[in-house]
Order: sequence, then structure tokens, then C-alpha cells
Amino acid sequence: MADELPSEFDAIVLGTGMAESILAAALARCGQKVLHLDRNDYYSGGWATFNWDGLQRWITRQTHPAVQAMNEAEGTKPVECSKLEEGESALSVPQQANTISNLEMFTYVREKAEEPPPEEKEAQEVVTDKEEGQTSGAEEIQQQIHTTEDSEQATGLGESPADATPEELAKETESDDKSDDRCDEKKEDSPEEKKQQEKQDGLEEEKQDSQEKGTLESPAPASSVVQQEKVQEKSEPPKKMEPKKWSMDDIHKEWRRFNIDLSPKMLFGRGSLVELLITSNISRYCEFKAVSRILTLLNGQLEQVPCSRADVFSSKFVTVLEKRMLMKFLTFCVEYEQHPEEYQGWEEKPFSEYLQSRQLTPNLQHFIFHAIAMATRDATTLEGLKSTQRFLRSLGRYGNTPFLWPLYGPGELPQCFCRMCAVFAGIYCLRRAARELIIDKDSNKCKGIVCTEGQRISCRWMVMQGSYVPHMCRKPDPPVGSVSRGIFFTDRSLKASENEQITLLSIPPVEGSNFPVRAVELGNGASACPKGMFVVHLTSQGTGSAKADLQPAAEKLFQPLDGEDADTESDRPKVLWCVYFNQLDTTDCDPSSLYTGLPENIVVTSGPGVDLGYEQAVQQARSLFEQMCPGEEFLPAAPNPEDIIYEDDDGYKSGEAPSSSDNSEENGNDSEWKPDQEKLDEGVAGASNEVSQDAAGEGAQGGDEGLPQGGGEEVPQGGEGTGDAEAAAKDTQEAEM
Amino acid sequence: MASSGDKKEHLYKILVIGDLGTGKTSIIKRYVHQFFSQHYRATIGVDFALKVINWDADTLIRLQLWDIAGQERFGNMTRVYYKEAVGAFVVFDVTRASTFEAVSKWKNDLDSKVQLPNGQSIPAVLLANKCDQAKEGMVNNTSQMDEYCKEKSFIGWFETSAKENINIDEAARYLVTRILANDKANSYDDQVDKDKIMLDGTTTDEPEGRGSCC
Repeated sequence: MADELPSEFDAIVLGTGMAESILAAALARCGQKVLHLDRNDYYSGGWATFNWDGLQRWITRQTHPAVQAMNEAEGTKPVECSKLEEGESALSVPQQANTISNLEMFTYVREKAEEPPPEEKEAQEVVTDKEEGQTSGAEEIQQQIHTTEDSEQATGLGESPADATPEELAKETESDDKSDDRCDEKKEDSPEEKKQQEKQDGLEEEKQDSQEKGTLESPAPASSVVQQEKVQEKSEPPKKMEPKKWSMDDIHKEWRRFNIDLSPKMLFGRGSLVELLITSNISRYCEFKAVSRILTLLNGQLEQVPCSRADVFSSKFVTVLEKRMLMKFLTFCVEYEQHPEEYQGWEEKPFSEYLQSRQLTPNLQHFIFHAIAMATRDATTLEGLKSTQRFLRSLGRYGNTPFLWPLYGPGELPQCFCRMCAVFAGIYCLRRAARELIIDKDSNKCKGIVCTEGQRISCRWMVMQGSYVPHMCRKPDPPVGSVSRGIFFTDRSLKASENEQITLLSIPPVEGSNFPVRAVELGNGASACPKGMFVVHLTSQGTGSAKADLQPAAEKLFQPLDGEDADTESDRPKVLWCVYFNQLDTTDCDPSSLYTGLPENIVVTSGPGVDLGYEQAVQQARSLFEQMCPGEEFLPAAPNPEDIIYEDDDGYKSGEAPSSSDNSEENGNDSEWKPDQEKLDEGVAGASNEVSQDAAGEGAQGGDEGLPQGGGEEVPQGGEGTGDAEAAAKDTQEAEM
Repeated sequence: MASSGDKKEHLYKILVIGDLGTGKTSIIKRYVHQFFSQHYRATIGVDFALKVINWDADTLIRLQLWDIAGQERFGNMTRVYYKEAVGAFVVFDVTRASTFEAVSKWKNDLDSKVQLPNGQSIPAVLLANKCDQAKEGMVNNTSQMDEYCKEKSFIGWFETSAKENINIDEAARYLVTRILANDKANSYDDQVDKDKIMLDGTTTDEPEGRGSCC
């Protein structure tokens, strides 16, 4: 793999997070020569998604004392640099992000699978973590261990021997060898009741499904009734499934099955990222699943929020009267700007009070405020209406809720833009960054970089994620915020259901806090973790350490974390492992409040921030692009490779679609693979496609290469080195393949 | 889908990886477009080349050949590139031993980034390209090369020349044969997740109107 990079670019981009990657793709797309670097050995920076091993390595890096020391010492004055020319100075670029703080990790299961037989139960009351008992079939006892060593071992998995030793990790784990015995008999106290309840749940969901289908497929209401009856007939009470008892060993073994996100964001169905992916044709690189349900915590119970029209009508938590009130209010919210009289005078007053004034029942107020608007405690009416509208407007495009979840995690999305950039000749290099920025003293412009390998590379523009900005150019005590994040592995879903769900849940602010906690639950179907396990992401605006911010919410959702007073009757998920950390958030900051003396040809992007969606990153990339390339189109549609016709040997011109009679019988399928001309023209427009022989036309005779036709400057000179008998022979062979 | 509805069709993604200047793009062009030019610049704006093969009377295969195109050339391909690939060519240049030394790096990278649905590594064929020119190193010793392929779990290797059109179709046929066998054993099609959504409207995009209001 080559080492030396070209020495001149239009733009150098540091960091492969969302905004940087969108910008890199947009620049390459309009013909700019782009070099895109990341100091990490993975893509997507603070937006990354990791498998289990990758996450362990990331955790190790965040907590490595050497790294932290480096961060503190780094770059407080101009540096000497041998690559400088007359009139230049150099600024050193931080080699670590330093955007993560307060990382704490906890393990609540054994290192090895261990199920002592029932008669040894007493002896197991105190379990030492050194024990490595054999697996037994007895399912009665569940051990809950919370030890320092367990979590240390969990992180010791980092592949690189240079990684931190386990002792340097898990700063705040406490030894707590409490065992949590639990008997099946106890649990199954009232199996009938439970089954009854589950039957209800299952039915309710299927009902909703069938109603949806009814409204979609056939407008006749009768058909949905029929469907419902069918469902009722075949619905069997689901079997009570005992959750699998996980050990850290199981987790290690399944390391590849995890996709764990640093920033678990979702796309609004009609949000700016969805639109951008579609209009740019980058959507072909990514796959999604619809977020399938939205829950809310109402009177200590998790209830499904009715968000679609069908949901509202089928919801059992909303009375008939409430249904009408809710429909009326939501219909207003969709176009609230057109009915200013409805909220005049309330604009800057609390949204919660406004909802009360609308004669909505407490239940409905709760649904709207917490589940739909996901508002902060002090949200104004205008803010609340805006959030409600955004939610409602994204409904009904994909699936049952307004949201999409990217398969394999949000860390995929920046990579989709990177691929587009690369396809348009952008050059990518991970594990390499700028060591110094070269500044022209007179003009205070950045002329380029010295990269970590010592090579001097010049550029006209620099794009960098905030954590790459030299310390010399940062203001002291910037007004930055933080995001509190928690990642929990659990043994069952927050709310059991027939089919695995992708769940969004907004937990109202706890007493004394202004900020709700957002929970996202993902399972195997979202490719987040192995079958039978769930990953729950908790996210909130940071006010203190992530653990302090999120623990109250975690306590509402999960079995007691500390192992004390474990509720053995609980149906709540048991946490197997978790990590808390704070992410630096600069999304609300004006660049002038963060940086000083930054050369004008350097533009800076933010990290992920606390928002659920991607609006901020898309908006930022777009406006920076307009600043850099005024008048250029922002990410126009890229040609679809499948729409490019490779002409067959008879040499059709790209402008004239070959008629089927032109093909010999053996190529009777040609028409299947020929895109229609209209599509082709779209694809060709604005791109430099190469067009040569039709790949489908193998059987065609003659090695005579028709001149390749095409709409771009990349048209190769046709017929070179071919057109001989051998080529013709090959053609025939291929037809036989 | 047009006239011949009973014909079985497959879409396979094949990766073409290897060091800069080993002839990846030339091989693809030779295979897909049947010509060779020494004047290629990096392919700009095209993700992959599509080759349609009438495999037999009942089977039509569309091969997507994904070139790293000299762009993600430091071996830092995005996951998008690897995703759902079912086969790979690893290319080196017989005139430059250093490109052969990089082969195991590329193969390791490949195996770490992509697997078949059953967890096995994807079948990879090693291409000793530019075999019309003077060879350097191990490639002169056939039995050593065989041994090497076994050790690195390549399913086979071919001396190829995009320029002289040597062995490229053979190598492709060899790889496709293996892919078809794997497909038969694992039936890739059955493992398609029905809930997946593509944004371009190929799936569950629901009628407008329902979403405008709840």
C-alpha cells in the first residue's frame, strides 16, 4: 500500500465525522481535489459505530493515562518545523480528540458461564470472581455480579498489545459480590395472568398492523375487520421465554455481532439527511430499518405512543373522546403556522401550560409533550409546536413512526459520503493526520499541512472537525456543552413483544432537571447485538457526569443496577454491562466563541451533539460548502453505475437506444438489462461516464471495438490493443459461460 | 424483468483489491468492456463495473466489480465497499515483488471486514497480473505459489495479463463457479431481510397523504 501522497489538493479535510464527510463528498463531487484524513484507525470519529472489540479498544484509548497526559501537554506554543519556507509558521495539530470525559464502565455478569446446581445455592451466596465453575443446566439461579475484575477482564480484550493495561481502566468499579437468586416458581406465581396480558399485547400489536394494512391496501374498512378476526383466531399466547443468562465470555465470543454507536442518532423520515441521501444518490450505499415503536413512561408503565392515525384509533390507552381531541390537536400542529390565532400570546410561554390550556387530558398532554415533542421541561410553546410538527411531518413515509435507523449503526452514514467522495477521486487515509498546519505569516492563510509522516502537502482550503483545531487557536474556557451517554447491554426488551422492535423512548426530566433522557433500544434485527440481547442507548444533555445524569432514568427502566434490593419478580431488563461517558458538544456554539485567530481558509465542523437527528450536521456542511464553493450545486445526483450502458460489439452509439432486433437471438435478454434511455440520460448528466461495449452483448460477433461513446472527458480511446481474433474468441467463450 | 421470466438471475458483488498500479482497473476494463488501454486515469464517478453473463440456459448473472479505483488506496476502504461482497480478486504485479508482499495484508483486511452469511471468509482468487512481463520473486515458482495460496486461503491463483487478455475470463469463471456453489449451499436470497428499507423508494415507501397528518 503506497505511502507517499500527492502534494497538492484543493481541500484537505481532517476528521471523518458526519459534517466533514458530507462536505468532503460535496467538494469532490464538484471537481475539487480532496484529501480526507483521520487520525483514528476507524471512520466516523465521534459518530462511529464499533463491534465489541472495537468498542473495547476505544474505551481503552479514552482512559489511557498516557493519552490524557499528552492531551494536557499538547501544543501550547508555535512549533519548530523543518518543512517551512520563508515567511511561514507552523501550528501543531492535536493528535487526540479529547472530547470524551467521565468514562465509567460496569460489568454485572460473570466472566464465564456458570450455573450452579440448586442445592449449592447457599454456597453461592457469596461468589468470588475467581471462580470458574462448570456450566450446569439448572436455570433457577441467576447470579448478579459486579466486580472490578470482571470489568477489567472485559476490557483486556483490546488487540493491540500497546493498549492500556486493564488496571488503568474502569476507574470507578466497585466490588459487589451480591448474588441475586431467583426461582422460577416465584417468578411464575401467576402464569395465567401473565399469559393473558401477553396475549393482549400481542393482539393489540397485530391489530394495529392489520389496521395499517387495511388502510394501505384496501380502503374498504370491512377488509381490515376481517383481517382482525383472522388474527384473533390464530393468535396463540406466546410461550414464556426465559431470558438467556449471559456471561462476558458469551459477549467476547460474539464480538463481531455487535454494532455499538457512540452517537445513536435517527433520521427523520422527511428530514434533511433523508432528502440529501436521495437527491445525491448516496442512498444506494445505505440501508435502514424503520423505528417500529415509540414508547413513553406513563405512571411507571411503558406504553406505546399512538403516532399514526391507525395507532390513535387502535390505542387502548386513549378513550374515544381523547382520540378526537388528539386528532384535532395534532392536525392543528401539522400546520400550526397557518393558525396563529390558536397560540397567540403563548409563543414564549411554557409549552406545558399551553397544552393544559388546550383542554387536553393529562394523558394526552403527556403523550404530546414527552413522546412526540420530546420537549425539555422549560420548552416554550413555539419550540414545542415546532418539535411536534417536525415529528408529525416525518410520519407515514417509512414504516410506522417518523424515524429511520441506519443498519449497522449510524457510523455507517459518514462512510457512505466518504465512499462517494472516493468515487469522485477523493483520497482517503486513516491513521494519518496533520502534524502541523503551515500558516503564511503575512496573509494569515493556511497553506497546507505537514502530515504525521512528515510530508508537506499544500491546499487552498482546510476543513477540520473541532478537535483538530490547534490549541493556539482555541479560546480559553469556551462555552461548550456536553452530551451524557450511556450504553447498556440487557437480557430482554424493555417491553416484550411478538416481533423484535426498534424502540425510541423519551423519559421525562426527573425532578430538578430540565432535560429528558432519550432511550433507543436495538436488538439483533437492527444488527446491534447477538440474538437474545438488547442494546439500550441513553442520551441526554449533560449537566454533570454521564452516570449522574443518566442513572435515574436507568433505574426506571432496568432491574436495580447495584444488585441491592434486586426485584426478583421484575420483568424489567437486567443490565449485563454498561458504559457511561460525556461527549463534548459544540453544536450550539458560534465558531467565534470557540476559536480565535483561525486563518480564514480554515473551516471548522462540530461533533454530533445531543439532537436526535442530523439536521445540524447537514445544515453545517451545506453552509460551509456554499462559503467554499459559491454558486456550485451541493451534492447533485451521482450517476448510477447500473444505468451506464456498455455498448455491445456492434457499437451502438449511446445516444441511440439499440432496438431489440439489432441483437442476435442468443442475446434475447438484452432488453432486460438495458436501462431505459431516460434513466441513462439522467445518469450521464453532469458526470464523466465511460461508455463502451454492452456487457450484455457477449455473444455478438466481431472483435471490432466500436468507439466508446459517452458524455464525459474520461472517454478512453477505443480499440487499443484489441480488435484481434483473440478478443473475438473470448467473446464467444463468454457467451458460453 | 422482461420476456424470460423463468430464467434464474443472480446479482453478485465482487471486490477487486490490491496495491496501486497492479492493474486492477485494467483487469476490470478488459473483463467488462473487452479492451485495454495504457492511458487509464483513475475511474471517476463510477462505483463498479457491471458484467452480465449468460451463465447457462437457466442462469443469468450480473457481476458488480467494485474497484478501489486508486482512491481508497491506502487500504482504508469504507465498510460500504466491503458490504455484501461474495467474492474477491486480490491483484499483484509480477514485476514488483513489493506488491506481492502486500497481498497478505490485503487478504487479512478483506477477511476481517467481510464474511459470508455463514461466517466463512469470502472466496478470493489471487491474480498475478502483468504476466506478459518479466516476473520477480515467488511467482516464478508454481508449487510455492500453490502452497502460498493454501496457507493464505485463496481458492486459487492465475497468471493474468489485462494487456494481452490472458486468463482473465478463466479467473472470473473460476471465482463465479465457487460463488454459485456457495450460493447454492447458503441460498443468499433467502437471507434477505424483508424489513430493510432503501430510501430510493424501492421498498415500503407509502402513498403520500397518509403522512401529511396523523
